[in-house]
Amino acid sequence: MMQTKERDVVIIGAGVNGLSIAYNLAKIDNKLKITVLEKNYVTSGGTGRCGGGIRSQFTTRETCEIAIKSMKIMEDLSKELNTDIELRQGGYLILAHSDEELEDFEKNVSLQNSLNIPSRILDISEIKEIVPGIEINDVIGASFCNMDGVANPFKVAFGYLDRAREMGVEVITHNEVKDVKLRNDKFLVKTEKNGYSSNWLVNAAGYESRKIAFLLNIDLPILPYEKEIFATEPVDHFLDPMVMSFKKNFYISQTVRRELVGGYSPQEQEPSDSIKSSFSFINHATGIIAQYLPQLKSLKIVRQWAGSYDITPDALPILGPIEEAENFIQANGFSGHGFMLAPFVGRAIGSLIAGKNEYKHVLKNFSYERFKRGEFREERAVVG
Amino acid sequence: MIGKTKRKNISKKQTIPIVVKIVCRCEDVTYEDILAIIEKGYTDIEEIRRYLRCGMGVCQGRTCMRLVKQILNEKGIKDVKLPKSRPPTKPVSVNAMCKKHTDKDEK
Repeated sequence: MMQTKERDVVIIGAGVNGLSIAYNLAKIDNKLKITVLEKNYVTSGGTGRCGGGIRSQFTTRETCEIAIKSMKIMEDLSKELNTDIELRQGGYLILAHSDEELEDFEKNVSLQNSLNIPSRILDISEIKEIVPGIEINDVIGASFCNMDGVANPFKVAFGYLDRAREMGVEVITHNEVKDVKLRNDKFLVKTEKNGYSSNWLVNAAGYESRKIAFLLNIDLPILPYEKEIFATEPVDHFLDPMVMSFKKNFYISQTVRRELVGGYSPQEQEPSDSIKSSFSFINHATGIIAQYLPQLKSLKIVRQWAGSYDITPDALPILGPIEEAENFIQANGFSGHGFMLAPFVGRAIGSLIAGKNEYKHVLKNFSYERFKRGEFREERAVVG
Repeated sequence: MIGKTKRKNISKKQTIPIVVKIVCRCEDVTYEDILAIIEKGYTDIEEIRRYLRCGMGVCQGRTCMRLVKQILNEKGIKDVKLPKSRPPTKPVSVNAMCKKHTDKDEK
């Protein structure tokens, strides 16, 4: 007979979002019995594979609002978690390759400015000042926000984990969820090793969230897209901002550890749950990025790896309760922005489960029901 | 056995031996760091690697991963698999790897 443990909250997924939710919830109410279940090891999914970028330059009001809130928390997170998260706010520089794109960026910047995001449009000489040596023959301008930057996803995830454990949160790894049933308002979660009975169930399983929701006959509209990334050896600091291009679909930044981390994807990609490194990626990614940053050519690549974006139809995450099962809380479908949004998501979902729901008006913009009603606008600022 | 490094003071007469057992040379992770993290409850080599960054430096774990495995074994943690290795096999310059673009490639 399998042992069943009684819990108040079970969170599926020990990535940065699951751990941020566990930490924030325990901080609000440390009497709650909280368990985080992880199929593999901590940060084995998207968190451990992401580029570590944090930005507030988005194209919809909804994303901008939560991105700026998340950024504000991130700025003080080293202190809050008592661990250096290696935050470096060198800005995000987004290249515009055509008049059309620049016009779009101007609209985005005025939306962002109205939400207190200090982004602005740069001309060619300003771009060259911020990134000395950049080759921008096919660029006519850029959008820039000096508040954006990079941080270390491992430091953030393990910081949340360590502080959560100190408050009594249980994190169980290598224990895959096999089945979930809802009986008399309790979630019965069967894992490979044991079972749990819980009042709340949080689905923070990254690109496997759809599989988890299927267990309760709910179909989340999330598709996986394979994304690859590389890191170079550490070199003297030369690149302040994260440089990216939606048109060329690349991004590159230099971390606090002075490695360069870059990603790129072909424009037309089919959904796929494969996560494999390819020669084609490193060949094209470095080729395209080195056209803009020739300094890259003299560096050595030390590793490349792959991960998956969990993309929704509007590229906005699915957050909060769903009508069919109100205590089945979603925190998934981040569409490539899970790391940067995790500080806010943890606070909002933590507050919701603890019964305070301070961010109710924000969370409702991200409800699963928007897909059923067909009321959504696409977030276009997705890269890599 | 973990190697010992001795550093000497500038004065030749007054030698103060500082014994530091380095496990990861690229990221300066010591034997004590590994013991402390095991003590903290981290016994998965993949988690240790991500937490301390041993094996994430230029050599990509060629020296330290086997040592970390050995320390885990000493602490009674069995069946430790070495982390998945990621390409390239050794550092390769971007110049050698990158696709040289011509106008034809631009679509």
